Amino acid sequence: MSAIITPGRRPAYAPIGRLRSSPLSGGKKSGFASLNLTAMVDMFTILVIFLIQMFNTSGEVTLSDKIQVPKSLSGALLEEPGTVIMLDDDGSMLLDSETIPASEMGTELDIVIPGMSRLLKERREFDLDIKKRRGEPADPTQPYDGVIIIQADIKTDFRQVRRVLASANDAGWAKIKFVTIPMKAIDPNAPKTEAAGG
Amino acid sequence: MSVSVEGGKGRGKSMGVELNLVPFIDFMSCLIAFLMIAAVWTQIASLDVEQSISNTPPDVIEQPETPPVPPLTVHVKAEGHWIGRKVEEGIQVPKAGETYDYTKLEELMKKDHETYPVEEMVVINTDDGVPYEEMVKVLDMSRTIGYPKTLLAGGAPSAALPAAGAAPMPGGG
Repeated sequence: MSAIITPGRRPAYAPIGRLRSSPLSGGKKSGFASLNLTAMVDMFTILVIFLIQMFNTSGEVTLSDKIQVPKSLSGALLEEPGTVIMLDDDGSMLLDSETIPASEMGTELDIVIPGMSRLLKERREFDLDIKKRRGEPADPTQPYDGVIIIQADIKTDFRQVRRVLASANDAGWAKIKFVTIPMKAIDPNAPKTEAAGG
Repeated sequence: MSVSVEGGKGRGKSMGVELNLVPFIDFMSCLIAFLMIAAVWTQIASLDVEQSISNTPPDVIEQPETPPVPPLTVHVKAEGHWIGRKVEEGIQVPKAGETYDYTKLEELMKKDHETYPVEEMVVINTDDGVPYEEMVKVLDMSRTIGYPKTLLAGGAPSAALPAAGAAPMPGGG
């Protein structure tokens, strides 16, 4: 037959016990209770580190609620920042949240969108000018290394996308990225596939 | 949190130093709230395409000894797909009801990749009026099967065969 062992006081009760028996309070209860904050501070620190990591992984691109982007299996993790062009299914376009004036949209028969081509040329020249001032002039034999990130709705008419691509080409932008949602989780440390050419 | 400091000369004089953690916790709370709002929880991927910018052509164009194999072309039309390397050998893949038949298209692309394992280029010619998603699906499929290079083309809807009707964009895509 085993003996019944009465457990001692738990550490959490210790401050209360001390309060009751405090010689300074003269038998009265003091309102002061020490709270152990170490665990909470630890948790906060871990949470902050985790959130900072999440903050860094996706670059500057955020998905718009209005635009439903397509899904992909072979897409690489989008990390490189660039100029974001949003295309809605109703034909509206935004270039880094900047609306292209209706007067510069051109007609349906135009391959190039004049307003978009103008804005992209301005950005390219501005960027090249900054690089030149920094002492990093662009190699004239190489195409401009700026990136255009196209975030288009799945229902967008391909004609609009084609016009955007033609405008980018007209302005001298070579690198295009189509934003997609990966169907499987992408390992950020996985080796990247060869860049497409064509 | 309290820090106990032993002091004095031999006598056990203890001083309870209270570290004020309230500002630290306030700061952490604000930081966590900000980061939770600013963090992007959805992974974003991208399919990369590089356009060839029209520069001055080279003075001498080297002619290969053997004629090159024409690239695999996938024509995305409103009524379905057309796939082939030559006009006369192309295969129509009509829609299965309202949706495109990607199972059949994938089968044909895999077969082509087995026949021409060295070839890397796919021309995706998408008609105007076709949803952008259909072009991305074909692009994604070509990358998954093993064609790393893509030329995007497009133009007005045409019943003509791709080799004749394809209108590559300036500089390709």
